[in-house]
Formats: sequence, C-alpha cells, structure tokens
Amino acid sequence: MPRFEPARRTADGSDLLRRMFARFRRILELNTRVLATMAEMEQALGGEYVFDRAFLESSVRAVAGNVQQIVYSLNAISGDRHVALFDRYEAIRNILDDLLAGGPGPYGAMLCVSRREVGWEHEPLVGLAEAALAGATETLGLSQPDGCLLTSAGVAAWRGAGRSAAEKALAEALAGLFARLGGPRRLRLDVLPIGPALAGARPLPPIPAAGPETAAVLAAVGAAVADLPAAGSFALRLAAAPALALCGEVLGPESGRTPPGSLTVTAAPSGPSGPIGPVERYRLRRAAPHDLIRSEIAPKDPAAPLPGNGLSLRPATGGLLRGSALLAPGQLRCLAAAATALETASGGPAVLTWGLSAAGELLALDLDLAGGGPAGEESPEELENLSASLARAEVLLSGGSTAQSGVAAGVVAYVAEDADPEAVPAGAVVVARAATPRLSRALRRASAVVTEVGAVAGHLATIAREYRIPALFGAAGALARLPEGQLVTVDAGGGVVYRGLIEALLSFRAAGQELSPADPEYVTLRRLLGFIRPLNLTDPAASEFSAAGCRTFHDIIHYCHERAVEELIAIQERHPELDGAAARRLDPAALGVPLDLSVLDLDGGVAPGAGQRLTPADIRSRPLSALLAGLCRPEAWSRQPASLGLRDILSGLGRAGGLGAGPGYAGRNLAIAARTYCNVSLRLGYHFNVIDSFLGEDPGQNYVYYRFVGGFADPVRRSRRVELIRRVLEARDFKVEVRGDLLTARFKIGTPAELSSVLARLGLLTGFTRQLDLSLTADGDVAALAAEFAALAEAAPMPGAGGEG
Amino acid sequence: MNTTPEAQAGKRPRILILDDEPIVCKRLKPAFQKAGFTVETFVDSASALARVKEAPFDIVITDLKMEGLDGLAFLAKVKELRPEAGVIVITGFATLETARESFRKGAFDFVAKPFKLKDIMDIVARLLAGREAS
Repeated sequence: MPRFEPARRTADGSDLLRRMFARFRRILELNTRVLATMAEMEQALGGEYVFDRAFLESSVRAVAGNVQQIVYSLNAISGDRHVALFDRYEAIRNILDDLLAGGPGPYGAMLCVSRREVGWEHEPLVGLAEAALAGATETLGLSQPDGCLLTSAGVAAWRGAGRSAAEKALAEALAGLFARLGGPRRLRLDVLPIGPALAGARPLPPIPAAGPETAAVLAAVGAAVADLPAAGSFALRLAAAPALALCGEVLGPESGRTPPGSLTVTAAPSGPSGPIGPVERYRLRRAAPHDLIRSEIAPKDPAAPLPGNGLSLRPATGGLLRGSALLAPGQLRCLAAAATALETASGGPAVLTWGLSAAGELLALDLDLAGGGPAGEESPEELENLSASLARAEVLLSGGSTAQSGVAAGVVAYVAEDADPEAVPAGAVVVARAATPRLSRALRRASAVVTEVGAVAGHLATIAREYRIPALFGAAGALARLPEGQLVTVDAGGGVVYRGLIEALLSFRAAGQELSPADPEYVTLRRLLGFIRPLNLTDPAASEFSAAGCRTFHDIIHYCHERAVEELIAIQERHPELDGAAARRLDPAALGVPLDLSVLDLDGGVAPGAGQRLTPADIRSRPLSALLAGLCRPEAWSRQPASLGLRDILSGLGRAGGLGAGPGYAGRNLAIAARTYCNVSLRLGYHFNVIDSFLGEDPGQNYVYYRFVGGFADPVRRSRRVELIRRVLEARDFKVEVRGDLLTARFKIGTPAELSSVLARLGLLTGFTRQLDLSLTADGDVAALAAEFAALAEAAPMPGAGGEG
Repeated sequence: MNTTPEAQAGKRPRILILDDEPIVCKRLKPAFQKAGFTVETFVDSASALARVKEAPFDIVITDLKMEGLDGLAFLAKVKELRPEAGVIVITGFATLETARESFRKGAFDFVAKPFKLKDIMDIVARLLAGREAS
C-alpha cells in the first residue's frame, strides 16, 4: 500500500494551498489525458483507426499509468482519505492485463447466466450470436424467450472436475427461470459455438425440448455436453419454448438461398416440434424499407383462420383485403430490419430463426452466424463492378468524422431533438443537426446516422459503436444535401453519402471490409473498453458513490475529480491556518459596494506587480472576475435592510450567541484565486456563502459550486430566502439540494462564456439576497422577489452574454 | 473516398502491403480495393520479397518491426529491385531515428500506428499525383 507524506502546514498555510491546487490541476490534466486515450480507443473500435495489438497494449499502459497518478494526487490532496481506491485500481488493472493476455477476465468463473443479464461483456462466455441477440432485438420489435445459459466456463467445468459445481449453478439458474415462468416448463436447448474459429462448425442440431422438471433438464444437458466435440468451446442455452403459430428464418445472400441485394423470409405453420405445413417464401430488398420483391404463398383453406385470427380475403385495415399470406407486410419488414441489425451487430452474415407466438408476438429464437455463409473474397469482376458503380455514383455529401464505420442504405428521415424517436421508420438513415444523446433511441431503429455537428467521442457515438450502426458526425450541410425521403447509401468509414442504392458497395461490406466483431483485436479492444469506458458512478450523493463502487477506470477518475473538488470547496474550513495567510485586501472604495474581501493569490489570480491594496482591475482570476462583476453591482446592494421583529431577534440570538457576539459566522471574507480557479468564502451578516469554481478552456472540466447557509430571521423567513435562491438557481440549470436552511447548488460543464455569465449572476444573487430573509414576511414575497431579481439580472449587462467575460 | 483516375480509366494501380499483424492487412486491403487498387497482402517479409521479385508494384506499404527481414531491410531491397516503387513505412514504434533512417533508404513517407485510413489514402494519392506530374 503506498504511503504518503502528510501534508505539512506552514505558518501561513499558503504553501499548502499552492501544493493542493497544483495537485488539483494535475488531476484535471490527467483526466483530460485519460479521456483522450479512451476516446482514441473508442474511435479505434468504431473503425476510424487502423491499429494492431501494440496499440492495445500501449493504450492500456497509458490509461492505467494516468489513472494511478490521479489516485495518488487525490490522496495527496486529502491526506490519504481515499487509499481504498488503490485496491480498486489494482483490481481493474489486473483484469485488463488478463484480457490483454487472452484471459477470460472477471467473468471467467461464471458458470451460468440468465438471458436477462447477458450483455456484450459476456460474449466470451455465451458467444457472439447470443450477445448480439441480447442487445439488438428488443427495440426492433422482437422479443426473446426468457432463459438461462450454461456458459463456456460452465460447460468446461461440466466436462472436467467441476461437474457438480456446474450442475448446482444450473439448478439454481433453472429455479430462478421457472419462478419467472410460473413453474417448470419444457425448454428449447441450443448449443452455441464460441469463437471465430468455429464458424461453419455448428456441431449439433438443436435439441427441441428438455424438461420440464429440473432433473430432466439436467439429464438433457448432461447428454448434450457428452455429445459435444472434444475440441472447441461451447455454451448451452435453455430457453422457454412457447407455443408457436408460425416459425421460419431470415436468410441473406451469403446463404446462397437468395439473390444479392435481397433477403428471404421463410414462414410455415408451427407444431410442437417444428414446421407442420408448406413453407412460404418472401423476398425483400436488403436495404430499408425492405420492399417486397416477390412472394411464394401456399394455397390455403379460405375458411381456416390465419395467424392473428384473420381470414383470407376479408377486409383489413384501410379497406384492403387481408390476403392469404401467413405474414403481413409490417411483420416482414420488422423481421428484415431485425435480421439486418443483427448482421450489423455481429459483423457478418447470419441466419435469424424466428417464431410467432400464439399471442401474435414475434420472437427471435436463434442467430446462426455459421449458417449465414462464408464472407469470401471478391472476384476481379466484382471489384471492377464496384469501381464502375462508385465512378458512376452521385456523391450527395462528403466529409465529417467517422463515429462508426460501415456501409448502409435507407431512406433519409429527419429527426428533430424533441421528436418521438419511435416515429422513426425502422431502417431509416437518420439525419439530424446535432449528435445529441436524445437521438440514442432513434439510433437503435436506424440503418445509419448522419449529423451536421457532434463529437465522435460523445455518448451517441458510443451507442452507435455498441450496435455498430454506421455513423458520420460533423458532416456540414447534411440537412440541406440529404432531402427527407431520399434513398441514400452511407459509407461512414469513407465519409461519403451517395444518392440511391449502391448495391456493389453494400455487397462489398459483407467481404469483411470493416473491423469485424470476429477479429481478435476487436474482441480484445471491446472487452478492455468494458472495464475502462462505462461510467457507473454518476450521482455523488448516492451511497454507491464510493471507492468500492468504482468498477471501471472512468468511475475512478470521475470519483477522484468529484472528491478533489470537495476538498477544494472545504479548503477554508479544513485549514483554519489559511486565515493568517498572506492575503491582500480588495479596496472597498474601488469595489463600489460595502464588501470587505481579501484575496490570496495562488497562481496567476492577481496581476503581477499589484500592490497590497487591490482593485478589481488587479484580479486576473477568470472565475473571480466574473463573480465580482455581479457581486459588486451597486443596485444589488441598494435594498434597505428590513425591520426586525422580536421573533427574528430571539432567533438570531439563539444562533449567534448574543447580539454582542457579532456575525454568526466568524472569520474574514477570503477569496483564494488562481487564473482558472477561485474559492470564495463570504460571511455577509448572518449567513455564509461558499462559491467554488473552475473556469478553464475545457467545458467538461468547468463547474460552479455554491453553498448558502444561515440568516438572522426566524426559520420560516429563512426558508423563504432559501426557496427564492433555489428558484433562481434552478432556472439557471443548477442542480440544487436543500436541507433546512442549508442550500447547495452545482453547475457543471459549460463554455468559458457560459460559466462567466453564471458566476456573474451568482454574484448578483449573493448581493441581492444578503439580508432578504428579513423582507420575506409572506410566502407570496418569494415569487415577487424572484421576479424582481430576474428584472435586475436582465437590466444588468453581464459578462459572457456577448462572449468571454 | 471515390475511385482513383487510373481506376476510372481502366488501369488499376498495384499495391503490396506487408505487415506481420494480419489485422492491418485485413483493414487496408478492402479500403484500397474500394478505391480502385489491385491489392496483395503479406504477413511475412520473405514471401513479400519473393513477390516483389516476380512482379512490379506501384506502391509498397510495409511495417518496420518484423521477424526475419525487418522493414528497413525490406525497404532497401524493394528500392534496389524496383526503384520506381513508392514505399510507405508504417510502424507502431515510431522514433525520430527510424523515421530518418526510412527516408534515407528511400521511403516516400512514414506513418505511425494507429493511423486513420484517410491519412494513408491521402499519402498514396499524393505519391501517385507526384508520379504523374513527373
């Protein structure tokens, strides 16, 4: 366990302060570096970079080294209050090293997993197909039967010395499954091959059913495990097998059973053990909106009900006749869109097995990556055809940054920021002005996304990479050049959008053009990022916001940043020796308001050569200057103190220790100032304000913290003042918490101009509210004073309104 | 990225890619094919050298750090056998010294891994444009 030298306290405390602030700035710098490396790794996953194994190793080394230094710096600032973070750092670093060495990571010992819990992080245990199914089906209108899996680790244990542990784990998982299903059920059992090497070597046909009792399921699993080939890695899936009205498959051209540019959906009536009637075939265009090209519909008894209880040639919605096809056009489109999304997510050709439950629900039953056919090399003729097609193609848009590479075609749909994402047609090419997180849900239904502005390291880019949806951000003029309703082909990796359907380019995609989820480097990078990138700790007030709650490197750096800010906020309380620090007084005459404030310069907070008596012009600290611009507006201080009632005097006496004891909060008003930082403690009468702010060039690191407590009036009037402050701050997008007469508010992330404006208003508010509790004699006064403040703020020219303050 | 003028005119420039990391070859090959090149990839320098002896290439892209004949030695051999070929060096272990040495041995440009596809496509376009101009 690393040991730290305890922070030494010097006579005036300013050395300690400088060291602390230097450490804080170091944390910010290292944070930026970690986020930059994470962004580069994410972009590599999205296909923007060509990289090799050495990149993975050097990235992990860089991120880990910086995270370790951040943890060290936080402990140095806080006097070792967070040493437990070193244990979390070591644990995550060990996982990353294991993954780099080809190990299974922390899930390696997981013998069973519920289908409900499966995510991409379980891919080594359950296989690519199951992980893709888990992520891609729900938003595409398909459900998955509930179930559980004996993982590759479980199968290995079963085949080796750990059989009893694997049986026990499976029995427990089955107990949970049967409890969810309402009792024992017959289950469908599938063998899932793991790893790219097994493509094309699916070892066993699915065993249609097992169970229903646990012992019978375990016996069926035992038999299936015994039949597995000796070489290779497998998982077993046990899923509920609901009664099906229909079943079938969705096949792509690589299967050899449908022409290029098309998908074929097969459908047949289903009995307990599979199809029982003639198979119908529907051929659709591969590109959204998946228009029907032709269909082979089996003859039927017109009196026999079709799925959904319809009858052939009876009126349906819109005055049309139902027809005699087993599947309606909407169901065909839904299956085609789901199959396309699953191919995109798994990175190669795949066959989707589907079912229609008796209740009319479409189900994704299985995804066979080997059955999709091999992704072969293009012939010279095909390459010539590709070149000729691209030479002829009309480029509608070029430029932008690749958030996720890939090729997709579809009809352009505009999505406004406030639009209902469910209204986006499945398979559309979503075009929007900005890549905002609100597009995330729309993205899941899209075949590609193009935006005019947006960061390839932002949240939407992460979602695009999660589902491998081609995404091009920052493409200027996208809205003007891509008209709504236009069919386009997007090549996100190449940064080009073509008019119409470029079939040769879409087919070329299947030849492994892009970094594929089957590539070992991709798999390793995705696994590594799973322990680096996700941010699980988002609410500093939550109980899990702790060292023990950090599950990724992102969690650790976010935790450290929050805790370091807290150390700075509390700096004047935790270090009373600062009161004697060599601070210089701001001349009240120069300020123009009756405020006695001293400034302790840390690093560039005061102009070089300034004298012992400072004026506002001497202040070089950007956040302090902005705050003073509002705080020193005379009109905010012009209200006359209100009269005191006897209750106020008694109330004030109770907290101040007597009128003769002076203000309730002792000590001087002190501003600790650096060029990009300030921490201001103000004792104005009987209340106490702390304003802590970092204002640099990186909007992500900028924040304002505000704390307000106290007052002289009775509790009801004090609570009215807190309510007034809460209203004003919430209107400015602060996150406000109130406990009694203690109010804390945080504003995070903003450009320098935004922060300047926020700080100026906060200064104005601080002056405005200094004695207002005495004025707030009725609840209605709160709204009136909020309006008065709004008018005052409106009338006062503030920094930031027209640019940098 | 649209197709090259050569491809549009029916003449596909020939490019050889050598990197002992298969993922690099796998990524570069389709990108250059899409841009209208005829592409051959190799993961060992001996096979790549044998191919250079057999057939001319307009462009050679080679990694530096490899088992057997390393990238600098391969570069020197290529320039000896096919002085007209433009050689681009890619490496994950870029230092000023290796970059200088690559240029001394006749490399057209030097790219550090990881790199964007567009970056290497731009270098290749520059190389071909310079050749046409001369």
